[in-house]
Amino acid sequence: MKENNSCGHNCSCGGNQEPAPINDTGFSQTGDAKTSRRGALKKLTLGLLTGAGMASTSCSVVGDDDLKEKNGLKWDEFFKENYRVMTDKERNDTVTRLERLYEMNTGKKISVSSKGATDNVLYGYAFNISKCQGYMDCVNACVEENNQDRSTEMQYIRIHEHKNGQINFELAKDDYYHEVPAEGHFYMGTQCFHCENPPCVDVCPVKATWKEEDGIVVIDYDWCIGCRYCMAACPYDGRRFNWQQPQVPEEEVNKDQHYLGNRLRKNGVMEKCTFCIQRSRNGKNPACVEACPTGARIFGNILDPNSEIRWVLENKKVFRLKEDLGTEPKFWYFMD
Amino acid sequence: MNQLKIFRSLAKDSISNAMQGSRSYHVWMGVLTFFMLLGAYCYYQQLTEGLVVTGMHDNVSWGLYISNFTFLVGVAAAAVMLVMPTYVLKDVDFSKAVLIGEGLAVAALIMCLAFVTVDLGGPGRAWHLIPGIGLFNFPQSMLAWDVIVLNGYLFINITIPLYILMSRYQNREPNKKFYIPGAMISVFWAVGIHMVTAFLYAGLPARPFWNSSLLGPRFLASAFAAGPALIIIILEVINRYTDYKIADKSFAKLAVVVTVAAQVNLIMLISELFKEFYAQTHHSLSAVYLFFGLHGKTGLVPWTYASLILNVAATAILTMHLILKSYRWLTVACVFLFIGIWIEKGMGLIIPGFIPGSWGDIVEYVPTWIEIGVTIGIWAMGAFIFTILAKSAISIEMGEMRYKKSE
Amino acid sequence: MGAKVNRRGRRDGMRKVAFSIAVALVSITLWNCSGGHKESNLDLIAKHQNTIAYDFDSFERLEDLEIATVLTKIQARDSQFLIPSRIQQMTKFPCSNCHTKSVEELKKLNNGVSAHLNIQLAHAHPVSMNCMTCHNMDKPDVLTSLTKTSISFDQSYQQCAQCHSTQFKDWEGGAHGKRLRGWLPPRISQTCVGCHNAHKPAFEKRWPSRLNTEKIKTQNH
Repeated sequence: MKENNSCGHNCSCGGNQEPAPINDTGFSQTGDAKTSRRGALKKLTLGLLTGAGMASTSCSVVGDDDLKEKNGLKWDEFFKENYRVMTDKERNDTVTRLERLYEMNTGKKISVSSKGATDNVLYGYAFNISKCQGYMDCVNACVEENNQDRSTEMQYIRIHEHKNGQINFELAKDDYYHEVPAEGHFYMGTQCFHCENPPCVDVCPVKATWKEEDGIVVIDYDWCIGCRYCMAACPYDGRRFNWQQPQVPEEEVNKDQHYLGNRLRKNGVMEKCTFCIQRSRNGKNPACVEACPTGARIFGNILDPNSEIRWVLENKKVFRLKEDLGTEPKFWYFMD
Repeated sequence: MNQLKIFRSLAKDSISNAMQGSRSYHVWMGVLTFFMLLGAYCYYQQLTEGLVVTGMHDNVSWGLYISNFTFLVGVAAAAVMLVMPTYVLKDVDFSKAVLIGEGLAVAALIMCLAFVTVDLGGPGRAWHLIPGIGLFNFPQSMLAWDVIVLNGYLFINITIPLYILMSRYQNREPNKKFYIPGAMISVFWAVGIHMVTAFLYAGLPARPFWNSSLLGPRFLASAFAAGPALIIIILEVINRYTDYKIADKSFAKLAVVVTVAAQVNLIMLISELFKEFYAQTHHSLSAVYLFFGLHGKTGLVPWTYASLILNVAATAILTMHLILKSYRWLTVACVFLFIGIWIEKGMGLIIPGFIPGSWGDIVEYVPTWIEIGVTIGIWAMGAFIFTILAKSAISIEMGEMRYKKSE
Repeated sequence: MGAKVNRRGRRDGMRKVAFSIAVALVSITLWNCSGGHKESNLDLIAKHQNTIAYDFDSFERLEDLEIATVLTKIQARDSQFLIPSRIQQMTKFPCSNCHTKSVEELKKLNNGVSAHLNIQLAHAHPVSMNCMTCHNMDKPDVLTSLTKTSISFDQSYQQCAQCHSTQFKDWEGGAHGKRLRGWLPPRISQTCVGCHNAHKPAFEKRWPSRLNTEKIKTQNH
C-alpha cells in the first residue's frame, strides 16, 4: 500500500519532468555496498524488496536506472546502523541518501545536516510566565519549522492557561480559544524539557533515543520501532507519536533539515522537540524563541557565564516542573 | 541426525493427528480459523493505515494490546504451579496435567509476543531488538529485559515438554537429569517474567498509578490465581471431551493454589485501595478515575465493579470450597476469577495509568473494532496453537501416537 | 543441582527455591539503581565560570539583520552588547527638519494635518506623564530626561530606564526583551522600542494564532 502511494506520486510528478541526473558519488548504489554482520539479514529480505521493486516497475514512468538506484537507496536506508553508532562517513552517506531520495521522489532539493554538538555548549531554556500572553505564535512557528504532521495537527508545544493564584495543570486549560491574555489568567508553555536524566532514554529498548553532548535529547527516526515506552515514561508529555503517515504539503516542507531534527518522519515512529537542532547547532535560536512576540522565551548556552540564560538562572527566582522526579529538566520557569 | 528424523516424524504425526478429530473438534478449529483470518484482515488494515485505526492516542498510548499482553504474561507464568510440584517436588498427582500446563504457557507466550508485535509502530524494524544485529538497551530498559525473559521462558517451555514427549514417543522414560534442572530454571524464570513485566510499569515515576512497590507482588498473586484457574477450566474440558482423565486430586490441589492466590490478591487490592483513598493525593487520581470516574468521564467504572464483584464472588466460592471440601462450583468460580483478573490486570491496570495524563488531561480510551478484531484473532491463534499442542501431547501420553522405526 | 534438591526432600528444596527467587529479584532491582548519583546540571553550571571561546567558524554564518541597522554598543554588567539603531529606522529624521517653528504654528501650517499629532498617549497616568515628559520642542532631535538631560534616540532605553528600572535591569541581564539573530555571541538585543510602542507600551489583547491542542483522535472516526 505504502509502496503504491509513493509510486503514484512518482507517476504524477516524474512524468512531467526530466528524471534527475544520476550522481553516483557519495553513496553506494546497491545492496552489495558493504559487508556487515547484517549481510545475512539483507539477503533474507532481498526477495521481498525485489518483489516490491517489480510491482512498482509496472506503473512507473521513471527510468529503469532510477528505479534501481531508488531501490538500492531504500535498501541501504533500511539496513543502516543506529545513527549514534555510525562513523562520520556513514552519517554522511545516510544524509546524502536521504537528500537523493527526496529529490527522486519530488524533484526538489533538500539539505539534511549531520552537524554534531559543539564543545562547551549545553543548551538551556527559560520561560517567563509573567511575559507569555498565550498568543501561540510559537506553536505556529514550531509546526512550520519542524515539518510536523498537518493532518493530525501535531504540536510539540502546549500552552496552558492558569487562573491567577494557582499552578495546577489539572485545572489549567490548554484548549482555550478566546482573546488573550484573558483577565485574571497567566500562561505557561510546556514542551520537551531535555532532561539531564531523561527517563525516556533509559526505557528505550533499542537505544533509538539519547541525549547528545550538548544536552539535546534526540531520536533516530529510522531506528525507532514505535513501542511507545518512552511516551509512557515521560512525565512532561514531551513526546509525540506518528499514528499515521505524516502529511506535509510539499510547498510547506522546510528544506533546511537535520538528521536528528526536522527531517521528514514516517508512520509509526516517535518524535519530539529538539530545540530546533537544525537551527540551534548553527547558532540560531529555536523557532519558538524567535517567534515569541513577548520575549518570554530565552535560550542559550548554560555553560557560558556571559549568556542571558545564565543571568536568568543566577538572578531570577527560577523553578522547574516535577522536580521531585529527579529528571533535571534544562527548562526553567521564572517570573519578572 | 537420528533425533532430527524422530522429530520430523513426530511433527508429521502431530499434524496428521491435528487434522483428525470429532465433529465438534473440527467446528472448534474452524471457528478459530475464522477468527484468526478476521484478525489477520484487521491487522492488515492497521499495517496499511497505521495505528491511527486503533483507539489509542497521544494521551492513552497503550491500550487493549498491551493490556492483554500483561495479562497473558501472568497466564504463562502460571504453568510453573504445575511444573514445580511435579518435577521438583515429585508430586505425581499433577503429572498428567503438567504437559497441558506447559502447552498453555507456550500458547500464552506466543500470544504475548504477538500482542507486543501488533502494538509496534514499525514491526518491520523489530529486528533492531535482536542482540548483535540490532542495538539492545540492556540492562537499562525493562523492555529489553522483558524481551529476553519472555523468549527465554518460551525456549524452556518448548524444550522441556518436547524432550519428554520425544522420549515417550519412542517409548522411553525421560531422563530426569535432563529435565529436572530445566524445570528448576523454569520455576525461577516464571517468577522472573512476571516480575520483569511488573517492573516495566513500576519503574515509571511518570505514572504514579503504576509506580508502586506492590505492583510486582500483586502481579504474581493475580497470575497464580488466573493462570491455574484457566488450567482448571481447560482440564475440565479435557476431562469431559477426551479419554484423558485427570484425577480429582489434581483439581483439588489446583483449587487450593487458586484459592490462596485469589485471597492474597484481594488482600493486596484492599491495601492498595486503602493507600489510594484514605489519604487522597494528586497521585490517587488514576484510582479515582478507575473507581468513580473523573470530570464525568466514567468509561472504566462498570468494568472495574464487574471485576471487583467477580473477584470477590470467586474468592468467596473458592474459600467455601476449601472449608466444605466440596468443589461443585469450581469451574464457575474459575471462570469468574479468570474474567475478573483479565479486566483487573488488563484495562484496569494499563489504561488508568495514562488517565489523567501528564498535565491532568482526561481523555478516555475506547478500543476500535479493528483493535478488537486483532485481539480476538490473537486469542484465537493462541487457542489454536494450544489445541494442537494439547491434542498431540494427550495422544502421546495415552500411547496413541508412537514412533514407528520403519518410517 | 536439581537432583540434589530432590534427595534432600521437599522442605529443603522449597527453601532453596525461595532463596534463589529472592536472590534473583534483588539482583534485578540492583541493576536498575544506577540513576541515583548523577551530577545535576546546576552543579555543571556552577563549574563553568570561565568565558567560553567559541569557534565561530564552526557555525553557519548568520544572515544579516533584515532591518538596515547600525548597531550601537552598550555597556551592560561586565560586558557589552549591541542594539539596533533607532535613528536608522526613523523615516523623517532629523526631526528639526520640520520642527522649525512652535507646534502651534505648525498646526496652522498644514490645516491641522500633521505627521503625528494623532498620537494618543496611553502610557502611565496623565498626571505623571505627557508628551513633554520625554520630548522637548527646543531640542526635537533628542529625547529629554526628567532632569532635562538630552538622550539620543539611539539610547532611548535610558529614557525608559528612568522609571522602569527593574525592567531595565532585567533587560540588561537578559531576562527581559528579545535576542536578535541567534543565541551565539555577539549578543544583539532588541531595545525597548523594538517591541513596545513608547506611546502605548502595553501589549494588546488579540486572538491566539491558532487552536492549541492537537486534534485528539476520537473514537468515532
